[in-house]
Amino acid sequence: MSTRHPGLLRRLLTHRQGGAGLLLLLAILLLAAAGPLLWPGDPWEMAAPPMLWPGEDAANPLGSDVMGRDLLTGLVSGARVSLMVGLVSTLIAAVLGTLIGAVGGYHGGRIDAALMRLTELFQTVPTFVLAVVLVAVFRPSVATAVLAIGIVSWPATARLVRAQVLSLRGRDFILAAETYGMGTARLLWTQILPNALPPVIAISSLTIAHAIQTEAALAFLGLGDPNVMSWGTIIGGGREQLVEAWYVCGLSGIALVVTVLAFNLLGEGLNDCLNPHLRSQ
Amino acid sequence: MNRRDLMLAGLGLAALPDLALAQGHAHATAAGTPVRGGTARIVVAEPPILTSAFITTMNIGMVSSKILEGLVSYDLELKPVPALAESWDTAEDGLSVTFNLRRNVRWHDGRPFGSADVRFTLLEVWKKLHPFGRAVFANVTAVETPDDHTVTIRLSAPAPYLFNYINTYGAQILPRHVYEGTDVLQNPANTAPIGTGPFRFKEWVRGSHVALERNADYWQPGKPYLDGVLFRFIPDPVARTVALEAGEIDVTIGSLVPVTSLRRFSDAAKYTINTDDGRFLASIFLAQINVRRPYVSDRRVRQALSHAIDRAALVRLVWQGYGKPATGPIPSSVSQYYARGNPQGFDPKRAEALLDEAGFKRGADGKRFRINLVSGSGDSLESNRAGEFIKQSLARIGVELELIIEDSAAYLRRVYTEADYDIMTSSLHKLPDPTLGVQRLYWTKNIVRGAPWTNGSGYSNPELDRIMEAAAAEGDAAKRRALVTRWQAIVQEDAPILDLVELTWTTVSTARFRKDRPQGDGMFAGLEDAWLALAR
Repeated sequence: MSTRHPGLLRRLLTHRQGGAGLLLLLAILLLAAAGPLLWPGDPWEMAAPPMLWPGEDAANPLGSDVMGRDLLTGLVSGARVSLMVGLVSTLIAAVLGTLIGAVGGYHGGRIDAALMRLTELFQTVPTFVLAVVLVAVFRPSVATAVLAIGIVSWPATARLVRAQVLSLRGRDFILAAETYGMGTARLLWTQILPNALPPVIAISSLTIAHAIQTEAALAFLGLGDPNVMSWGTIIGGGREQLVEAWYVCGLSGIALVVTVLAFNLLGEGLNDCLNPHLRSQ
Repeated sequence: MNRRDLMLAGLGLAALPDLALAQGHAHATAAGTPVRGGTARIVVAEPPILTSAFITTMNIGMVSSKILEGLVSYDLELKPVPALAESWDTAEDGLSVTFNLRRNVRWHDGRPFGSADVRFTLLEVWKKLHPFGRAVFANVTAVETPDDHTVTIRLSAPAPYLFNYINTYGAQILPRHVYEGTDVLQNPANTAPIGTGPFRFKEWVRGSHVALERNADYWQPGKPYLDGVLFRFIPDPVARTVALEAGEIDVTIGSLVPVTSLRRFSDAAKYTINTDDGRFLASIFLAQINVRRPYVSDRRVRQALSHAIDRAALVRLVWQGYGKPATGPIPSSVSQYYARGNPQGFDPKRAEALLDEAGFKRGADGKRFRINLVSGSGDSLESNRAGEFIKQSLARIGVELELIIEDSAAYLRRVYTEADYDIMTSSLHKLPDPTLGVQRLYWTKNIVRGAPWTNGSGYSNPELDRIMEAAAAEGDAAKRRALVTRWQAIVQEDAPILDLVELTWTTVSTARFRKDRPQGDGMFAGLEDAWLALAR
């Protein structure tokens, strides 16, 4: 990306919100990557005394949950799960949304109408409810959660891409390429999409934030993968002890808030930096 | 909306919370003289109807037991205590049982209660429509009513277990004049019951509460002490816990306060935690193994799984001490038949040796094989946590366990229709007699495709079948006990089901709430002996 837009990273770092988001995100990524090396062990292992407060015991610096599972190990594991779910489901949403938006916007007419009615169908159903239904119908697992979140998240991207393609559709360079006899697929792929993509990247950052929240909410409702420790799992499990041990929900909640904030800030920054109108100001 | 609500709302299913107790807990015995007046506010999960005569749903029993009564209730030793039957007598040969009914009992609509009501409900409701009643009263050939206050039941073979299921939960007596000639299952009285109990039905506001008022004509003079009972429905476990702390409610029955919150009610000056009310159900949290599947079809593997699970740690970590490690198919509360000791107890070394012997050695990655464990999303939080505990336990002996949580309908289909699982967990009521609650899980004739809570492991042992069938028809107590002991030894050895935790049902109440008579079936108590002490 930085090769295509040489100044992007620099612009982003000097952008107040974008820079903060990027730095926060780097810290989270580092934690997720290095965490298992620093605090090895199975997050499900019931090794500590139950409901240990943070700081009470050096072996479990962030305390333990109601079944004696180390919270720090759980939080690190949760970071990996959340980031993975966020990235993969957003990739699915971006691919689906771009494809549908580009085809609709380029062809127009009946194909466009049909695709946009489909998009509206998805937009009218509350996304979280649809995700719950999808996960409940198939068995709760990381794969179904990723798929479900991807499937409910694409409409915004599709709308955006369609608008971009519509505006590019009539430009001279596209008409020129068409005149030269370039095929539809090639034209879309080499001429239109590269120019339509920047806002997709910006919105994808927001989609990731939303996907992470959705995964946590699913796990909180007991629709998470029972074999994977995510932040939602920890919050859901600690909910009944909110009065006695608020830190179980509190710490994983903070982790969730910080991560979602990081992606939101980054999305904000990307939007500003990639938007040509704002750039020229 | 909390997690369990959402699941329930989405799936239209009733939760079966399965919870706990420590035997050492102080019992709610009432000190002082009962006070008349006041309304007890009790939290229950909202029942679908208010009549238990043909359905076993627990929360129905918790509400309906105040309005409708049975022939007996049970004390802490699970021995019958007279209720609508004053006394009873079994013939020498065990082939007839006579009940002498209480006189001067009236239904809430003023009509007299009598032997015709018992005969009607037994033949037309319990024997025909009740899921357990069909087995309990299977041997009944005729019901005679020589007069208005005597009922004689004729049997084709002795049925000693009959005396273990005739309380208001197992065999609730309905008014014949209201039900005869109608479709029992659709009778409007099912939602506005007319009973003989200490409280009359007043109103049911769906989603909010059921209100009962004092029955001034109750057959125990001077009782009930309370003016009424208000059942409130608070679906969120955190909300009802807070409501109890705030004094907005007086009692929660059926383990509705999560075990992890019970310590908030440990101050005996302010609260009472009763752990005896659910003894009658004799519920056990268990892992049932599908013996038709590879790996676990080998008895040595099943024994190894049993050796791998530290039941004491499971009780401590998951049930916070509210429960007892189970040793076999019959819980210790059923003292008449309980056999101490389990040859397949916690012993990880033995587990590994058995797996090696069975030919499933650890691979290069330290793992032997991978199997799954299926549980239902409608089950309790403790049940899901227990799955996590079992997964960790099996990992230590090299068995990888995949946890699968299905919604309740898919769970039942998967276990009982498709038999597509290796291990399933559930909390099942063993009831005070093994013929009632235990035989169903092992009997070859009870391998019924599609029927929930039958023999879902597919285990079949002709020798055991003969023993269980002989025990069901054995009238002699000592001989019967010997048969049941043999039965336990066989299923412990073959291990198609791993009995893990004897669950304790908790009733948490404010110290103001008193109940004079301890009951083994206190979850289904009439509460004529309950009262509210004056606030200090």
